[in-house]
Amino acid sequence: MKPQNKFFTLIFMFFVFGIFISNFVSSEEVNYSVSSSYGGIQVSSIKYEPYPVNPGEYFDFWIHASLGTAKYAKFEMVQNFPFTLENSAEAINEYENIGSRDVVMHYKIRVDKDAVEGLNNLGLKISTQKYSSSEVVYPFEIYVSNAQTDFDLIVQDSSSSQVSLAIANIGKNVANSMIVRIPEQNGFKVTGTNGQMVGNLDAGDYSIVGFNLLPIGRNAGNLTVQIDYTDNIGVRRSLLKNVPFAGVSSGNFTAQVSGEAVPANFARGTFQRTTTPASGINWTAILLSFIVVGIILFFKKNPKLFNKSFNTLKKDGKKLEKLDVPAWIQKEKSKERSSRGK
Amino acid sequence: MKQKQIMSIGNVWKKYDMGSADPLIVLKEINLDIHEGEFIAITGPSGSGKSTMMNIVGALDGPSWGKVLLKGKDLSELGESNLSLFRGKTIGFIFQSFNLIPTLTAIQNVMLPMEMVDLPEKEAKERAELLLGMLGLKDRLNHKPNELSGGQQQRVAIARSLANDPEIILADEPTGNLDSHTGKFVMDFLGKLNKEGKTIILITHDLNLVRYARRVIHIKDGKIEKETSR
Repeated sequence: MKPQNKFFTLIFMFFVFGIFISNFVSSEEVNYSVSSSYGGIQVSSIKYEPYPVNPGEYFDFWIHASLGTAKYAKFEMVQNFPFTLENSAEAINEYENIGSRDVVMHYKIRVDKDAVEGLNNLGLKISTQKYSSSEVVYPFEIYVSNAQTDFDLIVQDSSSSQVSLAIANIGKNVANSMIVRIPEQNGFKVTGTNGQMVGNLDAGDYSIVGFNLLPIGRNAGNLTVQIDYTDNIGVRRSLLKNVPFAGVSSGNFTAQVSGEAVPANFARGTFQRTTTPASGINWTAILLSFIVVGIILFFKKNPKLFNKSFNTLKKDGKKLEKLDVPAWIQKEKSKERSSRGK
Repeated sequence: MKQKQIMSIGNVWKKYDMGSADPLIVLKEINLDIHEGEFIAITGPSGSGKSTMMNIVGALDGPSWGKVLLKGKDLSELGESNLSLFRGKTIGFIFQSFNLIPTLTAIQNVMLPMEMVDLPEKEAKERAELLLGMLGLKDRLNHKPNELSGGQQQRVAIARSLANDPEIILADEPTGNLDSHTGKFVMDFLGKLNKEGKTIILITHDLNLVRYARRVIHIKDGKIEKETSR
């Protein structure tokens, strides 16, 4: 082989085995990818648990780094909103005179309770020189779930002194220990209690609360309603909603906060928790369930129909599943079985 | 008629040892058969094991347990150099970050895999010119990556992936760094290659790309959660 060919071959092998050898990566230009390299060091996110991460909770994050030929490597987890480390002292991992090796770094990271739903960047600072400030920040994208919820309100019914508000949980999460209040405001005066306890309101569910309310002046305008609830990570939250309130009549009142649909057949009356009415027995669903269970049982009794791979993967005439399974796999399987049993 | 099996992944597990702590298990009991001419998408959320799966499917990494057969050959039984050669001939890689060698020109980057399999330089150059021309880069042969746009770099990377006429193209988030127009070009080109008989394995978390595939493998928590075909 020509020397030039050898040179190219070496470069290509390095490229393939190292998975991703790219040019110098700067914090400004890099987007999230599964792996990248800096100064011969390759980093990649192995996984984080749970997925998605929850505001107000910790998550575990594992990063794999292949140190290549680097003589020195320092990794520092950058703590920026909404992420903080359980123990700041553990932010830095330093490796010196280590030769070629792979390392797995584990971080326990807290997500701020006010983290916004969606992808949030978590930076890992990498430097390869001990006394130099030259470094890059490699961003990992972490998906944060939404712990909060949202509500839609309408004035369901009103008389000269009483108003019924229908409130629907239009978010994805349950609202626990929910209280609806009418705060002090211009245009309306509450006689009697200004707060009603709803309790736990599931996502998609609704409830009706009533207040003795007197409009002040000819055109009262918007009614401000305060909703307090505990979200699904245990944080108490408070929301203010404005309900258009053009006036009071003895008939039904249908002003609406937004365009979200709320079931029209709300039960009349006040201080009564109502839930979405259950429909009659759905015989089609029951029949389908029996068919599905039958199919599952059939395939369980005929596992070969389930998995073609084992038929093609034999070693010395033995199927793979019959070979000795390592202890760590057995342990993982029993862990999964017991978690399924719970 | 059913297509011939080109890759079979049987009961594959992948773990990372964590010293005295329990090992970190990132793939669990993966069973997957891939047939010639398939367009398959492997999808799942970030951290689901998709990247590890890509490394295993691309023969860039081996499983901790289980078997991977590529064209009937057990990869664990090939030595490092044989594996490298076999992989270079059978699989073409397209990465999100292109991974072109910055010091080489477009044509040199495309010729690189052909050097690996000892194709004579003249033939390699002709083929590289042909591939780059096919991708509309005839006037960019001697440009280095930093003189090319993101879309042009990805097209060079596609030409490089086709250099050794591999049966399988493994594309990892191929449109991740591209604008929507160039992204569509790349996906349409992969679709065209598939129609010409190439097996395409697409790794993506972008559900908009999944529609190009005829079979979709959903991975979650290191396991195949579900498989859908159309």
